[in-house]
Amino acid sequence: MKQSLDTKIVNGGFSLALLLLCVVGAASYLNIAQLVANRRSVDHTHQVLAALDRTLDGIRDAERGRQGYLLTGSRTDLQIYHAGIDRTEAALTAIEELTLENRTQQQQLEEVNRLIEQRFELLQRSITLRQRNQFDRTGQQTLTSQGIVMDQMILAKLTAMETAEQDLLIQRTQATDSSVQQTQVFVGGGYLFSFSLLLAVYLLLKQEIRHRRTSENEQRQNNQQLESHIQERTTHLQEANQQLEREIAERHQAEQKLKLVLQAARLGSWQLDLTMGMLISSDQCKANFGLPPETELSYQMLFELIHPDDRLRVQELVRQAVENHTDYEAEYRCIWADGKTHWILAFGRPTYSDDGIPLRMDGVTLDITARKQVESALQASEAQLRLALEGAKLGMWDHDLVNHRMEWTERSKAIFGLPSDCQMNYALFLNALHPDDRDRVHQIVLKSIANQTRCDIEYRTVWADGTVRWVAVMGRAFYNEAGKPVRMAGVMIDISDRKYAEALLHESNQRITDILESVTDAFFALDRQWRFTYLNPRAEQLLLRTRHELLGKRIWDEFPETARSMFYWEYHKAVADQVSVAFEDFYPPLNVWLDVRAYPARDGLSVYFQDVTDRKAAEAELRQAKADLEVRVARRTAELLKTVELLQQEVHERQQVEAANQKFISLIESSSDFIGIASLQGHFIYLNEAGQKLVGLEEQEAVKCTRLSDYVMLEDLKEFSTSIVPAVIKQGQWVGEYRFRHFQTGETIPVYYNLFTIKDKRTGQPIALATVTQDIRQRKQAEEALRQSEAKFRSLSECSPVGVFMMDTDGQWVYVNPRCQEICGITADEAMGDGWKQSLHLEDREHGLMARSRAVAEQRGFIIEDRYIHKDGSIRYGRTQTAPIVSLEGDLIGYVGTIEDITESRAIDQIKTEFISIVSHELRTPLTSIRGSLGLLVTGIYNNKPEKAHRMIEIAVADTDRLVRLVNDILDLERLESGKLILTREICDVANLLFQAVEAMQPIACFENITLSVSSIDANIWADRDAIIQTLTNLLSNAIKFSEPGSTVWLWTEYVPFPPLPLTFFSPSKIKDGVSQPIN
Amino acid sequence: MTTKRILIVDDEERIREVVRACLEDLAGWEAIVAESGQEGLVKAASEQFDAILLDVSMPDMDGFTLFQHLQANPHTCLTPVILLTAKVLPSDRAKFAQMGVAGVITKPFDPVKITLEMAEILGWESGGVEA
Repeated sequence: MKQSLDTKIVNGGFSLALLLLCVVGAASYLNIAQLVANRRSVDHTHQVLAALDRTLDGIRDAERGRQGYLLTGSRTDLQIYHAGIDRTEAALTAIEELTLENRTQQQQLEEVNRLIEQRFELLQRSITLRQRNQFDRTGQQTLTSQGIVMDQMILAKLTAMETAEQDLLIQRTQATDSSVQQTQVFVGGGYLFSFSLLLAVYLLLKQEIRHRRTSENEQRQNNQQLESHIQERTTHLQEANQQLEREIAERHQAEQKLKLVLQAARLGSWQLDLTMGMLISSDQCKANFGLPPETELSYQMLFELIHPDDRLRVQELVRQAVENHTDYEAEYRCIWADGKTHWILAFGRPTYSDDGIPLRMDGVTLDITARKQVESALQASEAQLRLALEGAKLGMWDHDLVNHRMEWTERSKAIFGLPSDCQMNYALFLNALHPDDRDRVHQIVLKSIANQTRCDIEYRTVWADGTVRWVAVMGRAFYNEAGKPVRMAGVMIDISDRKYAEALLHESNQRITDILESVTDAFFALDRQWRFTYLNPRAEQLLLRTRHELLGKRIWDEFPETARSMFYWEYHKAVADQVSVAFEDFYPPLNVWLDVRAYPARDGLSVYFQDVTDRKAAEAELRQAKADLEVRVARRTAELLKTVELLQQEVHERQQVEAANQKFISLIESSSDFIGIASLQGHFIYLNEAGQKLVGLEEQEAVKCTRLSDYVMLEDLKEFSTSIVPAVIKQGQWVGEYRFRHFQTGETIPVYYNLFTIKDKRTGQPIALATVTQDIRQRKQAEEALRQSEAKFRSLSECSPVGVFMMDTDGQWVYVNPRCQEICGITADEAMGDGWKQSLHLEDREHGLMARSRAVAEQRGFIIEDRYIHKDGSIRYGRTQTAPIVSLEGDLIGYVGTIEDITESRAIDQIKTEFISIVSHELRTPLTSIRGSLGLLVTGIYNNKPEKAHRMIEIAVADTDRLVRLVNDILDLERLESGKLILTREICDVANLLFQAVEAMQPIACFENITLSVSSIDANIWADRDAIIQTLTNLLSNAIKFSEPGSTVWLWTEYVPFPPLPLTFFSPSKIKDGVSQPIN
Repeated sequence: MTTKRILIVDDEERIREVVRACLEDLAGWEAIVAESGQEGLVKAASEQFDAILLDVSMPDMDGFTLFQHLQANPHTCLTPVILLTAKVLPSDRAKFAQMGVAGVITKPFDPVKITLEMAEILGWESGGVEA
């Protein structure tokens, strides 16, 4: 809108200025024409005045001639007379002609004519009188007097006429002066206004050019911004791509690590397809069953490997786990090919479909033979111990002081009359005690724990049916590192029998005491001197002495061994302290254990004793067993602790393995990649969820009906079977970008296909095919977007009317578009690196390179204009502009630059400047003359020099004409440029055109002494007659102007069959020294 | 005061005439004209002038070249030169300023003022007074 307004103002201003110039020119022309007319009038007045003078002179001459004739009678004087008359008449005739248009003067002239006629009659009468009467003085005087009167009258009339002419002259001079002044003011004012307008238009044009330059710069900046946006977007996409690739690599590493962990833990992984009963197992899993990796292990085969005794159990456990939705855990034996039995620990976890149908079970296996061996040894040892304990009728108990749990063996529970499935605890234990013993037992237990001493108690237990049994208990507490009691363990034995026996013995002793002889116990009595006073038969029996032998004899003499034994001390104690003593001691000479009860008596000492060797032996045996038991318990405890520790460690390891396994499974399941396994025949065995989703398979079941080839596009099948499958079989892997098809929509899915064989570790033979395939749709889309963006940028750049190049941070060119190559005049290969510098003009090179390297050093853009020299020597001007490209991190990564070919615009600017300069010069030249001549006239210095004034006016007129022509030319040019020049075309004869042009220029040529020659062809052309003639006359005018006098200017025509239209060329040339020279 | 002698070099006949009329009739100086650069050079070298009024655009030799020739000639190098030109663009002005001429008078000019302007440029007393 603005631009159109400006253009209108410019056009309007220009047109107005030109119009004004025309008007001024026209006005000047009219004024000057008026001046010329005035001038003619002045000349006319002067002529009238002169004629009047001549009339008077004629009359005077006639009078002088008359007078001479009167005096001399000479013919000469008569001739003077006649000449005067003729002159007068001629003058009068001239006056009559000159004053034809002046009525007043005509009337006066008639008067004068009449008077002169009368005057001439007087003269004639005088002459005639002289001729007849030679000296008639009187007559002559009269005539003379009348003549004088007539002369005065004539003079008065002529003077009146002269005065009238003088007045006319003054009027006309004044009119001329005023006309000159008006013209000056009008022309001066008009031109001043026109030039002001032209100046305004010039300024407006300048402003317009500046606006355009600004908008061009803005456009260039926008262009740069767009390019830098594209660059940023490209960088961003590349980074996203790299990130994606890094993530994929990390995922691969994690998988690899997991596999390594599984390998290191010697964990075999397996997967049981519960619907099909198919088993997939890892190499390690197979190794656990003693199978080489290449073996295809089926579920059936696996069961055959399991020990026959375990098969059913394992099958049951699997069934239970699946039914109950629990984890499956089993330890079982398997028989290796070499016949050895190995223990396997297996874990598994079933997976169900959404509607609860069991799909598969994933699990791991571990060879635990070594642990089992240890355990079995331990169990054997434990069984022996148990056997020993059972033999000794010992019950074992174990009290966990931390968790307050008690473990009792069945024997222990039996001792307490409790059922074997009874869960023991301390309260129950205390409750089972005889009420009288409870507190005591509890105190002893506490004391034992506190003092870290053995606990050795006998107490009674009351059975449910009221039976009271005696129990002997031995035990001790165990402490942790901090000294805190953690458990208490020990054994117990039912000692009711012994207790009853003891009681019975006691009763018996009593009876013996009472009835000495009848007692079944041995008895002897000693006096104070330790002499036997009595022996009962039993004593004789036991001591292997008869009464006779021993009565009256000292015991210490008869049984000297006793003197150093317990017997001695006990007996003495009984006697000395008068207390009964009871003791058991071994009496080596008799090799018997004796249970002795000695009672002091008044006369000595009564001793009851019995042989308890058997019991003692049993007791000793019991003690020995107890000691052994303790040792073994301690050892067993330590072993158990160690086992517990090992088990804990194992459990921890198993948990870790389980977690790792779980992680692996969930990794595969949660992986976004297509992960699948297929048999060597290509039948799919497994495909993870992401894989199913990718190709539109809804369940694992459907996957199993597919083959590897089903996933590829139909058109890729041939390539798949002829190149990819063989490559995988031969090289073990094929990796590359490929296409999958969607099972439901048939859509093409671009993927990164990694198909590889799973090999047996030992044999290296392939056992299955697996694939980890990535969905690269997004990447492809990104790549496509990038490619499109790049293509867009490239095509933008390739089609750009502006040269585009890219530099690295060192200023080396790395890209150049075709336009840039065109501007610089070099090929892309030549431009790369430093090559482009060769195209810089030598004169601009040093400055240009310095400016560029300075900008690069300061990491900023620059703008420079310099010249590029082409191989053909032509020169182009280019305006180079660069901008730095900065990465997202803010690092400089290069520069992008544009080169604009400004050769044309420079040339146009140049032409424009030259045009304005020329037009200004051409307009000013005639104006100078006009202004100068009119200025001189205005000063009035030529008022008295009409010739000079006339000349000045002529100069003004000539240059006014020239100015008008110039303005017309400019108008034509403007019309031609704006397409408003209407050409009236018609069929014209070429020869006729040439003739007309030459005819028009012939006078000038003659004046300059130049010959015009024409050479025409016989042809008709379709053209605007006037325009062509004008052109030809201009050409001829120039030719004449630039030719020397005496030379010939030739104008000839030529027919050129130039497709698509034949053209006729007109061409002038001049002949100088006989040589034809073309004229531009 | 002696009459000034001015050499007018211009290829335009009517301008020559008008300028001459100004100098002679208004200022009373003596004006000698040359129709071309070549003629101007010859006249300048062969006669003595107080100043040269020189047109810039001439077909055979432009004012710049002529001025250089004048400067190169010891006989003419001291004669002050005033350019009389229709070239008024800033670029032309700059070029004139570099030449070292005594002054520049632009066309068209006021005939009364041209003599005053010349006198001022050349440091003379006004020509009009002498007329």
